[in-house]
Amino acid sequence: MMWKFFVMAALCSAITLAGENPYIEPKTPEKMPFSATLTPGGAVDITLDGQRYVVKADFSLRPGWAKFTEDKAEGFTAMTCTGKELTAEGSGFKLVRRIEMTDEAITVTDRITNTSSENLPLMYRQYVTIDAIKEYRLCGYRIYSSHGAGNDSINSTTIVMPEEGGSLGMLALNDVFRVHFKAFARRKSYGIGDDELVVKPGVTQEMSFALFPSRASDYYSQINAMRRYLGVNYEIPCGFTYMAPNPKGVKSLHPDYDQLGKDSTVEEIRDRLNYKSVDYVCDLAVPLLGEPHQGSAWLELCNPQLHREFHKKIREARPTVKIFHFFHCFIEFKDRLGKGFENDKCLLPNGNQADYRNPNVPLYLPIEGGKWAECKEKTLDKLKNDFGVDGIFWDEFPYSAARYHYGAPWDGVSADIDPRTHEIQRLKSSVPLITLPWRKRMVEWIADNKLMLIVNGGGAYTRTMMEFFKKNKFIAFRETGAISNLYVTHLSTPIGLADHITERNEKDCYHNIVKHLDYGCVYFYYHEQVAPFTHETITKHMFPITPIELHEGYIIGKERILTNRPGIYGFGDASEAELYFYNADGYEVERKAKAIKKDGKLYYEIALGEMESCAIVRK
Amino acid sequence: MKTMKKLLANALLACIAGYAAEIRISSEPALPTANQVANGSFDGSITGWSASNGNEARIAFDDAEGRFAAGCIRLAGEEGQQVCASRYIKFDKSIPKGGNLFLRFACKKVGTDFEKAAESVSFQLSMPDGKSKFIPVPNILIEDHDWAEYESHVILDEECVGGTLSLCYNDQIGTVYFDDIEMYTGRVSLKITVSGKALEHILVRSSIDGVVLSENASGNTFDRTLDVPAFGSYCVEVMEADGRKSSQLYPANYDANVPATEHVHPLTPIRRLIFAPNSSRAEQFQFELKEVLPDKSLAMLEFDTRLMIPAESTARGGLMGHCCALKVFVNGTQLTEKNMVHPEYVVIFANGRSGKMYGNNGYTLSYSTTICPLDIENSYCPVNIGDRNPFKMKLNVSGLLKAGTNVISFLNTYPTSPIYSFDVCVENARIEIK
Repeated sequence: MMWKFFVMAALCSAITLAGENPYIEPKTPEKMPFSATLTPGGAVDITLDGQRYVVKADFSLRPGWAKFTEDKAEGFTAMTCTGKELTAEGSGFKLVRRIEMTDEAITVTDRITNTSSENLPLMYRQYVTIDAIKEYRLCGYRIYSSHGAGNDSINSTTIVMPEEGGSLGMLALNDVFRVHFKAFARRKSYGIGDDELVVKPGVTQEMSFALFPSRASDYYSQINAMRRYLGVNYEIPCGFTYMAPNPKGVKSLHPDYDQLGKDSTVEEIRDRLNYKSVDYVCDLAVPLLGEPHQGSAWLELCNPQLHREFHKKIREARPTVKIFHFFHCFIEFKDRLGKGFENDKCLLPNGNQADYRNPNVPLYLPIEGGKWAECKEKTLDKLKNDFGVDGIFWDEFPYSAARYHYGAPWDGVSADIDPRTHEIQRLKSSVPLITLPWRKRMVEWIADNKLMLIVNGGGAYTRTMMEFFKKNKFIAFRETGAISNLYVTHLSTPIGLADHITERNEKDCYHNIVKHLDYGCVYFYYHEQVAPFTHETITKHMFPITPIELHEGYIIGKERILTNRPGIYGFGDASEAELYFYNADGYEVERKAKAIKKDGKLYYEIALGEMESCAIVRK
Repeated sequence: MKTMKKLLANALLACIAGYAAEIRISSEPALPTANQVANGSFDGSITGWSASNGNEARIAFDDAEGRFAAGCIRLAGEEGQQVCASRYIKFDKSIPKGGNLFLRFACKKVGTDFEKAAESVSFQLSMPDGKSKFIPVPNILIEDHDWAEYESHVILDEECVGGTLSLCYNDQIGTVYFDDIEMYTGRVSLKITVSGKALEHILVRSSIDGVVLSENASGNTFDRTLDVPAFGSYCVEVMEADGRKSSQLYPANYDANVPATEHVHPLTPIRRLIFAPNSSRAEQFQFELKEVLPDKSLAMLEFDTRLMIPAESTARGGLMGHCCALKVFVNGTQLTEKNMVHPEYVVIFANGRSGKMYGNNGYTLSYSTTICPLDIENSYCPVNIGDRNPFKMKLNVSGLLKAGTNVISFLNTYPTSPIYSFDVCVENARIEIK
């Protein structure tokens, strides 16, 4: 009799589970049946399923504003408009706007020509006004206040979900717009803008952005549509950690364990790499052995032999490993200040040199033709030829502690603009823009030399660099102690670096891996301060992953799905999968999961408790 | 249940009784001195307060609203209008150069436009030669909020005889209420006499400025007269050689901690504790338990806390972010995120960012001019906490308390900086046991 009770209980439980848990599979992207046109007033008028969005625009004048509205443009002296293109003339500039449609987006391109004889400051804003909204996001962050501001050059988005349903996403596209990007919400208007734009006399500056009207009203549907549009769903091949040839006695956070180093055995290194399941290993300078951190003095004082011997051990421990070395292109060290870099200083508005929040670590700019750039080029060369690395880890890739340089050379597009008078207060140069030509050439050199590149701080900071990264499958991660900053990775490779501030042991690391999934992100390990690692965990089945969709709680890839949420998962076809469950301590556990066939597709019913995770690996 | 209650009551008796040393405190003149703001609590009217020209209809007595009791002044905003209620205050005695002036008030606002200027309070000093100048007044939270208290203590650099106190609500919408407006000036002689078995240390704490005296003692008597500001209350804490601690507040029940009850046990009689940064030692408070707590009883260490923004700060908005700055210890064991009941360890703010309320330097505190639940329009409002109050700290210390003397310690761990330095304010520190 009791067996009948258990069967009934299990059946009820299964039915309840199936009834409660959603079916999760990659959605087939649909062509959104929206229509879009330019209004007589120059705004972009979008209709989808009876829902209407009018994306207006403001352009600063001196004084006042020119506006694209629904009915009649304001502040322009002349305007002609067909459905998809318009030409407008304002005070000191001419604007040609064009809109083009793809399956999921409307791309708006504004070509702005300065028709005056002096620099033209032009604050540029695009926005919708919606009375009642359910939710809105700026740069990925859900803002709970009715007003907000954000700036991020990778997740350069504003996404708004009206109460009636559906959503509209706005994404900045061109380099200058992304670098200057700001997202804003104010008095029921939600938009994207550039308040730092200057157009030189006679120059045409192209500003472009994309609009994503959608039937879905959640953030991740918008982000996934944007990812498809940008084409950033490419493979992340394997996991990552740091490991340096430390001398003996460098303490880890565990009182009984030192960090691994040059005297570690192959077996110790093997265990560490195997338990972390990593094949990208990043080496670092070892100051305790006389190597300075990577300023100019590193070129003379580095010890390639030390690292080559260490690399031998690593390769023997795990032959599939690719070895990287740390590289930084902005920081110098005052105690070993190099000569000849006076013209390459990164300057603050007061004329002082910018630093890394520490006057002993001044910042320099690698600009084409400069001595500092030459020094950094030699550094890369040394890493390739003398260190024999397989790849470069480029820290703080687009900029370091200073985003702007207040000196020569000028980048030709940036200024501080007075918010009231709209006049230029002072010119400035965006560090990502002014260093872009040199960094691009270095990235091309890395690709030409068949090296892999991993960056911290954003490969997709500019569209130019994003296209290069896509082409070469270079990857970027986000280093942060505040996990919500993983939103920044959502339009790039969705990888978060371990939180070295709060992770104290391998269980903390595992918990963070699980929390990364709350943002649809995978996890890269930090360095050897956390020790020991005693067992494999979900990172064993985390890579390679080619993202298809990111979600809160899980990431769907071509090869696998990683999740921390219960649900009924499938790949959208009849693919079978191997399931690997991990308990709240990060250990793999045996767990049966029911396979469900439905509409010719196969799904697996995954039950997970708090801090548990599962890797569903396609066979 | 009755037996449990009885056990608890007996176990805790020792924490209420047992003041070993005898402490006598008095002052000349007696505290509290006279509030220089007549009708600062708006008892039945707004007599003495004048409206700015043309705005007479916009200021009124409100008999429904009030901070602790009904009755306060109400200012109704109007766009483009400088709505203001003022009164001139002539001090009982002029304040000499270097003298003290303390201003405290409570306000509440509803329906404000947070993109416009916040309401403000100003005090324009009058000098004997007819000149005038404004004193720094703390920034008020921009967004709507329930009753919150603000204060500033200023050392004057010129002699003054009085001044005009103005409650302003300029070019705004919505309504602001003010109540319990106090102003005190001058200094008193605080006479302290202590007698005990073997005195070891005497500490005198001001409810406004923190520690004013910290001195080793010996023998069995201590006499001292201190010249101190004439506002707030003063708590004398005596440590004896046998480890016992006694304390006394003067004036009694003024700026006092929460009252003791069967379940609530204040750590100190004074409401506010101020911990300066760069201290080498945590400050200790004692809590006596006669017996071990029964199983299943819950002991919570509760207090309100913030990083104190100086009154002269020009930062707009009253709340400027947060920083790890407070370590708490119970019997030598540092409390961590595992002890956190309120706020939660991970918080989501209204600006969408997540934050950890505990880090390497201890608990995360907000830089603020006041303590109150936050409105969602404040970027730092913790939206995942029901009461949206990031200042209220509740730490589970069950299992850490023992029979006998328990030591609760607080340490300001604000990062050392040559430019910035912030005091930590802890208010209403108590143990609650159920």
